[in-house]
Amino acid sequence: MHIVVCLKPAVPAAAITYDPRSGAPLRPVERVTSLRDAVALQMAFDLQCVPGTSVTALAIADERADPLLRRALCAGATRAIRVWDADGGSALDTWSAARVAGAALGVLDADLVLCGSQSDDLGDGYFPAALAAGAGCELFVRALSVVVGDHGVEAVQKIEGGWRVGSTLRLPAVVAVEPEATRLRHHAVLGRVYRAGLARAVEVWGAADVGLAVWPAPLLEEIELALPRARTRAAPAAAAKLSAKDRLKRKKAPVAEEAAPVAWDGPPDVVARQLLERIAQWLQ
Amino acid sequence: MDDAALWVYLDDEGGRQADLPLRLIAEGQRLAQATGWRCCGIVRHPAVAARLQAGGRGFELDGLFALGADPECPDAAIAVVAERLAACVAAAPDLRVLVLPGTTVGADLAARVAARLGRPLLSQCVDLEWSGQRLIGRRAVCSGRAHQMVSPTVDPPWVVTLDPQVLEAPAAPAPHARVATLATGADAAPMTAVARVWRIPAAELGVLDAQVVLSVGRGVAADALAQVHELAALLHAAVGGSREAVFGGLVQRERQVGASGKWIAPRVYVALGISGSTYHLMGIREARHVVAINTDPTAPIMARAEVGIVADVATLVPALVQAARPAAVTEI
Repeated sequence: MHIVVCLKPAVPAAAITYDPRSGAPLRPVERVTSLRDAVALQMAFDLQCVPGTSVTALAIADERADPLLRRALCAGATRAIRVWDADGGSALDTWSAARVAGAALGVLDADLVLCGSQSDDLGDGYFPAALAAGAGCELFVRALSVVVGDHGVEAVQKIEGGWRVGSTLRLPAVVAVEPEATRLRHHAVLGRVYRAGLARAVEVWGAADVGLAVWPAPLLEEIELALPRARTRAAPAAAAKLSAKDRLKRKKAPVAEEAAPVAWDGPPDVVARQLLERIAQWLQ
Repeated sequence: MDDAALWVYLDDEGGRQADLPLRLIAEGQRLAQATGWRCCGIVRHPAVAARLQAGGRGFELDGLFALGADPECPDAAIAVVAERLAACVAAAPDLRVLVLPGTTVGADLAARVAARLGRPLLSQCVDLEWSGQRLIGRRAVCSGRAHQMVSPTVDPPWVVTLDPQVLEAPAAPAPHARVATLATGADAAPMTAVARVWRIPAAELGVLDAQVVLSVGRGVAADALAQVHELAALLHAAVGGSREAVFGGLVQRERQVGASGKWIAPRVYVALGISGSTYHLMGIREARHVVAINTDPTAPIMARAEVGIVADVATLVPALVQAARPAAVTEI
C-alpha cells in the first residue's frame, strides 16, 4: 500500500508579530508542521508496520517546506516530494494547492492519502474535500483511527455527542485526521531510521512533472492581514430611539426580572426528579 | 432588486441546533439587504422546515426550497446531501452566495459542495462585507492573532460558512415561508460502507463533544467528586470544571471550561458549586440551557442560569444519582 501524507507548511501563530507603526500583523518567515498534519504523518508511520507499505510526504509549497519534509524523511518517510512552480506558484490558495496535490497523486498512484482536517494557521478545512474532488477519491473526514484489517482499510469517524462511526474505506481515499487520532512519538536522533532519512533528499517537482500544463489560478485572494477586531454590531431599532438618559437609567437598573432563573426549592429528591425531567425534556 | 439570490442552508441538525437557522437567516438578510439580492432558504427535507416553523418563531424569506422529499438524510450520509446541494447550486444561474453555518456538519458540507463545483470557499467568516461589487470575508486565523480579509477572484456562486458564535438573533418573528421542493436530479450514494455506530463511555467524553456537561467548582468537595462522575455516567455527560477546580486538582486541565479553557456549546450545562466569574461565563456563552446549583443565591451564575437551585452539591448530587439510576433518561 502506498500512503501519501500531505503536509502544509503553516505559519506558527506564536511567531506572529505586529508592525509597530501600523499595528498590522506580520507573518514570520519560518514555517512549521500543523499538529493535525503531524498526527497524519504519525498515523502513516503506524500503518507502515504492514509489510509492503511505503509513505511519501508531499507538500505543495516553496522551499520553506523543505525543513518539514526533511524531518518527515528522518522520522521514517520513504520519499519526500515538494511540488512548486517558481514562475506561477507565487499565490496558491487552498483550492489550487489541492488541485496540484490531486495531480501529484495521479502520478504517485497513492492508495491512501492522509492529511490534517485543517491547518493550524488558516484552518479553513477545505483542503481534504478539494483534494478528494480533484483526485476523484473518496473523502473520509474527522478520522480518529485508520487500520488495515482483514476486510480492507477500516476507519473510525468522530461524530458530535461522543458518537463514533466505523466504516470500511474504498481505496483510493482521502482521510482527514483529527488531532487526537494518535499520539506523536519522537524519533530517536541518530537511530537507524533517522540516519536513513538523512541520506535521502527532498525531490522537487514542477508543474510538468505532475502533468499540469498550467499552474492553477487561485479562487481566493488575500486582501489584507489585519488586526483582530470585534464585529461592528448594528444597534437594535428600539435601543436607537432611547435617549442617552434612558440608556443610562437602563444600565444602572438592577438585573431585569426576566433574566432571573427559575428557582427551585424543596426536598433534594423532589428537586432531583424535577431536574432530570427537565434535562430529558431539553434533550428531546 | 434583480433576480440574483443568496441561499441560506438551514439545518437544525435533528433539533440540536434549533436557534442557529434563525440566526443564519438574520445574517443572510443583512447581506441581502446590502447587495439587493433575494434571500432564500434551502433545507435538506421539508420536515426540517416544518420543525423550524413548529418552534413558534417564523422566518421571512423570499423562497424556501427543499433538496428532496424522501426520507431525511442522516449525518452519516452527508456525501449524499452534499451531492444534492451541489446539483441544486449548479442548476441555479441566479445564485450568488450559498451561506452555511460553520458547525462541524455545516463546514463539512460547505467544503464538499464547494469542492464538487470548484468554487471558492470563504470559511468560518466572522464578518461579511459587500464593498465595490466584491464580497469580502473576514476570518480569524493563526489562533485568533490576526484576521484575514479574503475575496473571491472568480465569478459567483461562492460558498460561505459563518462562525456560529458571531451570529445574532433575528430582531422579530416573521410570517412563515412556504416550502418548494427542488428536483435535484442527483442521486448519489455514499461510497463508504458504514459497519457500525457506537458511543464512547462518558468518562472518555470531552467537554467539547458532550451534549450535557457537569462542571464542578470550588463548592464541590473532593469526596463528592466520585458521585459527580457517577451522575455523569448515568446522564452520558462529560465532567468539566472551573479554573478553581483545575487548580484544586478536581479536574484535569484539558477539561477546564472558561475563557482560559474550553469554549463549549453543550445543550445542557450544569454548574455544580460554581460562582460564575465573567471568564467562566464567557466559556459557556453558547450553552443552550444552563442549570446552576449553588448555596449562594446571589452568585453571578444564577443570573445566567435558566434554572437555579439553591442547594448544597453534596446533598443534591446523591439525590440526582438515586433518581437517575432508574430514570427514564434513556436516550441522551
